[in-house]
Amino acid sequence: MLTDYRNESYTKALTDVVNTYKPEILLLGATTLGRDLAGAVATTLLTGLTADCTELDVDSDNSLAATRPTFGGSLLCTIYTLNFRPQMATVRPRVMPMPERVQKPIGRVVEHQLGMVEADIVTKVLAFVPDRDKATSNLAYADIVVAGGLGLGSLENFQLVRQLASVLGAEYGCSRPLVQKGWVSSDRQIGQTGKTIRPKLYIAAGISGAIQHRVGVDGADMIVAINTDKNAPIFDFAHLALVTDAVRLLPALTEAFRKRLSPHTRDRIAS
Amino acid sequence: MHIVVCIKQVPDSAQIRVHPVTNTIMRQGVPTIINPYDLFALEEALRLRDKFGGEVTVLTMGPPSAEDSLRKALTIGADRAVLLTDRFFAGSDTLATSYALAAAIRKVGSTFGAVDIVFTGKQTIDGDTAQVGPGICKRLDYLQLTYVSKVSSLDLSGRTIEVERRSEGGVQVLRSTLPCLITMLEGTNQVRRGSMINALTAARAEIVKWSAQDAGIEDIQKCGLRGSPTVVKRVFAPTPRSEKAKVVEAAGQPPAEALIDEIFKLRPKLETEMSDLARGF
Repeated sequence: MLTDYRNESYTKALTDVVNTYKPEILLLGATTLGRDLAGAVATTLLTGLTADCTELDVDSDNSLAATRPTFGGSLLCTIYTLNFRPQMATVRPRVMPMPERVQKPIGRVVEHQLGMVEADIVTKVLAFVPDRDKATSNLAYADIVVAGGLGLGSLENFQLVRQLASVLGAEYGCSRPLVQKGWVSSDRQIGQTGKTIRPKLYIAAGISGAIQHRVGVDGADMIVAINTDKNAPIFDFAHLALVTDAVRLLPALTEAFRKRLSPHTRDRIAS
Repeated sequence: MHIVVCIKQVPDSAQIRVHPVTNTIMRQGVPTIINPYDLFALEEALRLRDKFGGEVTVLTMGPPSAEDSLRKALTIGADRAVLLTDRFFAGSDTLATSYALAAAIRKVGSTFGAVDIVFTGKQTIDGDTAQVGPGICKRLDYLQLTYVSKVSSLDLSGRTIEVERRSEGGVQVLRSTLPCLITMLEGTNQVRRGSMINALTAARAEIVKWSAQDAGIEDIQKCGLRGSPTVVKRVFAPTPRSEKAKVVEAAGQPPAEALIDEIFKLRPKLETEMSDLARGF
């Protein structure tokens, strides 16, 4: 009954588990599945739920401090669930570093009988159609990511981002306004309402760097920002800054990388 | 058939600025819009109405000025607009909001005809929680269908509905029953423009305005700040990285090459890794 995700069966199951074991804190991933489930479970349990957290902490009195971007991603806020249990939160995928595998786990697996019957579940899954474009889901796991923002000015100029990504063997992405304009599909969006990335190198072209975007890229090992506005917030968290027009720089950068990374050039430098 | 579409009036987040000194939101002069995701929900509701007949009621909870968004929704083609407004609602989190909206939907059903489907956007652009849809749904005990990209069939006499919904790694095709709540994915339909005649009618249309009491809300303690289990303790601007970004100076060198030199100077291992990647390894 739990083979395919369905809100009804999963809500019933998770609510039952919470009522049995009474946890202080209940965390779920802020994925399409996790958000669908968390909202339903929190309302069924009549407790608080903080969405899409980027940072979690536990205070000395055991209360959960859940931090998330707010006001369309221009500020951060820390939210508590004071008098209700469990304290619930959904957490953005990829915002936390992956922990090391422990040799002797202290947690144990508990089997919990649900006593649910299929006849009680109204919604039926008729089919599941897997995504054809597998590459799009790689953005979150890519080592190199190139992304463009509103500073590029037009859909045509966004091609410059794709060209650089192609030469680097990188994934390409964008900031939210480009998705809202319909220039780029939403699965390419990087930021609070899009993907969180942790690449070794992130090149942001014409992206101003609102918090909405920042929370999606803070885990990058190196952030290179190209922007005409020297006061753009992205320069507050980038490692390297180039104050120039990305539209003019990108073709030159693509060409320079192409030369630099070609085996021919490297051999010559090596000799 | 009676469809309710829940919409929210939100500040156009693209135009929000934070005061550089006080770190507070500068709301003044920021224009408000209908939450863009809700427009896809409204459009889908109007399409079903046009095909199967019936009525579309738009509902919003907010300050009296949210009337503007309701008139826009009427211009686009909704048949009726309900504004749920009361000072008791101030400070509502998602649990309290879903309590009030669910009560108002029950009242819409008893006043204007039984509700078959509630539509809303997948989330708002100001709160970004995606929690109010499922919240309303559970309180009404409707079937929950979130992130829907397509309503593929609707059988009003058999009370069944088939939808495609975005899931992880693919699309689920689901069959469920009415009444249900659907949250619509963005970009799933082309939102129609309201006609001039609609705009003129909408400007004069009467908006149904309900207080908490009018909407039949029984327990005012469950509304607003008092009815909200979550408490915002701290609002702050993110701290800049301790070191400012290093500005790349191109001294007699093309800027692109200067940038690449800097990248590889700071992260020497990247050059080999990127060469391998560029060659398709």
